[in-house]
Amino acid sequence: MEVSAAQLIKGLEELFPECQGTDISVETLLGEMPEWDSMAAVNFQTFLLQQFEMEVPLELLADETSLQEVIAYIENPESALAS
Amino acid sequence: MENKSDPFDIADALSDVNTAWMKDDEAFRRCCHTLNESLQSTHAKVLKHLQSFPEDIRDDGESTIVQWVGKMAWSSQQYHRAWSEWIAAYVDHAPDLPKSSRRRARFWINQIQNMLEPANYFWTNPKAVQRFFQSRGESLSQGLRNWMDDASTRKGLVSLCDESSFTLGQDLAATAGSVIFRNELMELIQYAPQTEKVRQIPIVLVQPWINKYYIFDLSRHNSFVAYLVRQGFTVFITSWKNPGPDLRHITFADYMFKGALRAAQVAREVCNVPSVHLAGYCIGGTLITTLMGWLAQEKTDIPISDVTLFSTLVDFSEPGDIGVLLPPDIIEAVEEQTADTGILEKHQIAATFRMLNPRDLIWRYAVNNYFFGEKPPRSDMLYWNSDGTNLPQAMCNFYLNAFYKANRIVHPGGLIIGGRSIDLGMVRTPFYIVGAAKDHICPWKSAFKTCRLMGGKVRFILADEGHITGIVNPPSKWSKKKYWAAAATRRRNADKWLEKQVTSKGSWWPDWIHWLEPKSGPKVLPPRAGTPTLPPLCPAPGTYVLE
Repeated sequence: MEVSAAQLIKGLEELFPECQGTDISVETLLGEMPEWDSMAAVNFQTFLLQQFEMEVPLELLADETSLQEVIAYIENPESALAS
Repeated sequence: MENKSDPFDIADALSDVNTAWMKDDEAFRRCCHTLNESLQSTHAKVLKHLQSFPEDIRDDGESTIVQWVGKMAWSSQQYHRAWSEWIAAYVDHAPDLPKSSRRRARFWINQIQNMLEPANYFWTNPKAVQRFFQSRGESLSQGLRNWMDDASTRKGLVSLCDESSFTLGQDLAATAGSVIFRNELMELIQYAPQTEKVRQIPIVLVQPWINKYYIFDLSRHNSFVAYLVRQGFTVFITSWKNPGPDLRHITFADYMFKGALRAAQVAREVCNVPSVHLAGYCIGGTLITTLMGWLAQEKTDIPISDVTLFSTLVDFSEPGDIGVLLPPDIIEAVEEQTADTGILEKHQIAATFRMLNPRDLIWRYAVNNYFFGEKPPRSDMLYWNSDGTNLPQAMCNFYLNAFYKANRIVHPGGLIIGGRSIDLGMVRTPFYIVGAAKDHICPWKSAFKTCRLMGGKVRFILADEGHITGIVNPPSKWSKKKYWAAAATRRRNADKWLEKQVTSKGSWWPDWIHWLEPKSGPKVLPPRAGTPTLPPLCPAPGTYVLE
């Protein structure tokens, strides 16, 4: 599945409105998002499931995971291992 | 009860902050200047953003309105952020403010900030307006139906999860096993083996009774019990009765003796071993630590070889944000209410816990369900989070008073239960204690305080996640999680302990297995489910979990 970074970031800004006006890019780490915590990770996981029909493991959605790594997982889970 | 108009002391908390600033005029002036600068900078940013404002909104219809709402939302968000950052600093830097006052003020300011988030209001949420136009009003109409459903069936708590998407025993709590023991308080589940041989000493998991037991047996990929069974352990778990008013008399001691101790005795009998590994999560951990204090005075027949605590408070001196929600007036109000009802209702408990994370457990779903008219998503963790239980009057009042209010157990002899005064220093059993770095319910530094209370060896693990995700933390080739683990016997200072630790990557679960292994005896043929005198009663997940 090909994932548009813009689509992911737009969805993120809707899910986390407090991100509006901050600079989010594919290099952004999840832990850099305002008020990111473990429940935010659960909500992000459900968002990804709804948006991309892909259950991203919660273990991947940690502070030091970048959006690029999330995209890589959705596009090809095995490729995310190398990143 | 005094001051009933403000039982949470919110006004006092905020007043304390203002009073603190009044003591230092110069610092207060600088603080106000910072706000002024921040607002000026925000004005400039907003004006620049609005320069691309559509000149004529009359001709362009719905899309222009959505665009207009988007700009208003963006602008509102900038002001909200500026104010939020400033007021957080106003509380955090108030001079000479006692720690407890600062925590209370920060907590309530956070509630207000979350409530005033622009996206929580229709006309400053462009997606809500867009959905309204696209659906010709159906989104709000459905949202109203969702709200009425929550009001009538969930006592006003917003639904977090599509409850039709899971069936207990099929999608969740589905690891094969049998209920082998049942009393008025507990069903004990024994899981079926998945290896040819098992370690001789079984693991008995004592679960919290504020939610259902299956947080340790969620979906196949993250089931803690399934992991332990695959590692060659015989695993037992407590599934507690969801009490009604008829069980108002059940005490904390009942949970100890008819619950945790009975579970250990049954497991010992089934596996034909002298003792078991006993592990407790959250209040389940508090329970088994108290039980160990009680057993420490037993001359013989202690059925527990070692103890593991997951996200557990034993020393309640700094209970985190939940302490803000339990001032003496509220504890008194709970006592009055449960005297009438016999129970503390699950909806009240759920509302309390949701206030610890209002953004992720209240407002996000209020917007999704009521403004967008959507169903909440499918999530195993949120399904479990929504599946609460009541607390019986006697146990609830004892727990709030003895632990949260008086913190009796930290003082040798301070807590008397089951006819014995508890001195945790007498407990020589080894402990394995897991705290979670972002735990709002059981702050890890408070969990760490257990290390100095216990008389035996302690190994402490700090996981880098929250109360649930720090514990339900399966090994995975994609895991980006980390943890710190080392001996912490009698250690007092959590920060100093952490400074010396090396970061480990992945899940801490293998570390626990490594710790248990040498205490687990030889590998033997798996025991049968139950015993001739305790035959299996029904398949897991049993009946109490469905109540």
